[in-house]
Amino acid sequence: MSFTANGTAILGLVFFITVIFVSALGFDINSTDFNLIGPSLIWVTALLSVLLSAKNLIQDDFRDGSLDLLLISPIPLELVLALKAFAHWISISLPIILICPVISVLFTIPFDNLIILIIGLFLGTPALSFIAILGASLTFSLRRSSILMPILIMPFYIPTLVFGVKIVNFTENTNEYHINGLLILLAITLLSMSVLPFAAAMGVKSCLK
Amino acid sequence: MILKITDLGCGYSSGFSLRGISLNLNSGEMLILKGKNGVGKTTLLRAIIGLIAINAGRITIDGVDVTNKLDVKGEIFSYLGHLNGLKSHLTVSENLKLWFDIFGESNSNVLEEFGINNLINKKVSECSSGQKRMIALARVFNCPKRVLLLDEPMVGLDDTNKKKIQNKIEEHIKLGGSAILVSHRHFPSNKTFSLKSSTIPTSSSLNGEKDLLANFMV
Amino acid sequence: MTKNSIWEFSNPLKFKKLAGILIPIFGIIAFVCVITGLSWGFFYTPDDYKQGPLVKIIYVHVPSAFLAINIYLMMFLASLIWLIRRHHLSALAAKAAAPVGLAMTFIAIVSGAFWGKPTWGTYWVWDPRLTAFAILTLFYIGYIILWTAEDEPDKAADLTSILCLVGSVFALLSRYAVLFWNQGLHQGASLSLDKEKNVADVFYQPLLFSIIGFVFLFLFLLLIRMRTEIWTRQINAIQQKLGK
Repeated sequence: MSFTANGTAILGLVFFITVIFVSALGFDINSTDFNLIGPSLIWVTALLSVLLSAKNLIQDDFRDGSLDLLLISPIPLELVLALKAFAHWISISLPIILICPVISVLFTIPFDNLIILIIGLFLGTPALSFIAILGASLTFSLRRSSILMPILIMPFYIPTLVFGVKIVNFTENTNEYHINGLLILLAITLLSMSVLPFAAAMGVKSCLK
Repeated sequence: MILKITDLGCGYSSGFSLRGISLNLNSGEMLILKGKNGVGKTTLLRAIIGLIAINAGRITIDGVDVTNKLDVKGEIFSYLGHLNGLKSHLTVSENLKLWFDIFGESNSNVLEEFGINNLINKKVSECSSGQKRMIALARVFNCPKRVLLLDEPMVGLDDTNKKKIQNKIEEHIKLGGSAILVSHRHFPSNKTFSLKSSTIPTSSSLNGEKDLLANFMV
Repeated sequence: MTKNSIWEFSNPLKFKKLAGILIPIFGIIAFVCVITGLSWGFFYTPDDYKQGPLVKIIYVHVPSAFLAINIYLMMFLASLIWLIRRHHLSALAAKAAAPVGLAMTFIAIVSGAFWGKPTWGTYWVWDPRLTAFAILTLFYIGYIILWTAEDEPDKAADLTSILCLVGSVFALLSRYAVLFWNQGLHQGASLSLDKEKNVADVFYQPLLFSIIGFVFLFLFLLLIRMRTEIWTRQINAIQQKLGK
């Protein structure tokens, strides 16, 4: 069931890599800040990749009639949506995380920072997919949903983004500092995974009325 | 099994789209919904299966109230709407496997009967619209539940296939199942249910309402 | 009054009567309090020895910030009531409050910026409180846009309520995340860069007037907006009936 999301996986990864390259070129290589930009750029681009590939999570099913069948099925809608979000994470964010070590070479990110970045991405990006499914559930039957969804979703992405980046770029390297940040990312993700499927199910069902 | 619909009404806050629908259906009966285009046949079918919320009235099955209970209805009804519910980037067999895993599968050779066995490994996007409809119908008839709810099942089918589907439905009825159809095809010996729309002439008052009266005709 | 379709006008009718009475009262109170608070604060309090007359901007800044957050809280409650009890008025209240909330957030940010530049040298800084206000602005904007994207009012109410609820949950989560971040596992005093906890009495009283005035201003605007919305819906319902 969850594999229906995989059509856009490769495209998402290519998008990510392309944007990173282009953005890197857009910065002045010689400025001393260049090395600090890496993690932020990676996070922002990952965020955009998730956002832009999430538009059709529900809309495709709505358009071809599968959503009707899913609603009648014995599987709880919450579970269906959670699986969709999870599949989306696997197909979009996981490749990004795996390719991070390669990308980090472009920005000469120190190894310690890289570890934090990757763990942060791993803990934080599921939240992005689950928030995306909430956005999809609210907008799939509306016109101009492709513009609307990113606008609605952006504020929810900010906490994850801020913490994900903050914990990497700091010169202080106390362990507690990093762990606190990672715990926060984990908390955001866990909250999203537990609450948002229910909210998204409500969103989908409101279109039945 | 007795399906009873009493005084059903559904619609938005801007106005009811259906109102006052009452009908009964027993095992071994087929009911054809009739009426002009746009009068609400599809709406009624979707309301019965639960894809449109029911705001008034009740649906009971053998006395048990199932109004708005989607999960229960999935066990009792097999539904096919206007859309086929097929993912176009997957093959036919992947699609069918997907829905069989969810809704249940039987060992019937419905694919052979429908003549679509040769399409098994083709992507759905490469099939014609008639073939897609047959695939969707194959999903329904592989493991049909007690009541079939079919909305214009034969759209886009050639005559041979139309006959096949008609036979399939009648076979289902003979075995004790029942069906509610929206169809313009003639089925011998069945109940029909006409949805009429009538407009109460608007006087100068603001009470003019466009209402849907239900007439039950056998 | 004719009862049209499913839209119950019984409660909104009572509301309209109540609103008719309250609106002028609230308007007057708002006017009086705001004028008193602001003029007292601006003209009759001594200048702060460090910041000069500019600190008086808190008479605008604090009430607007206070309202920006509390209006969102009110929308959260109204959305909850709509989803549970399907009381049309509460959905209306949330919808009507949102633009006022957005305006308050904007005023708070701008007044804060004007205060900040001469005092601390910058219009903006990415500290938790200001970032939170930026997020709040985006929440309000998204909420308002979602209302306009769907024609069917009940469905729009559903979708926006869900958005508001989830937004509130995230806002709360972020607040505690920031506290956690700053203090580790020990909850200390919350950092507040621009909330004057240690304001002297002479400043405090006009501030109180200002805050109360702004609150009544909000209520005044809210009631007007709700009444207008009800009128609009009634007209739409009538037009539909005639059209059909």
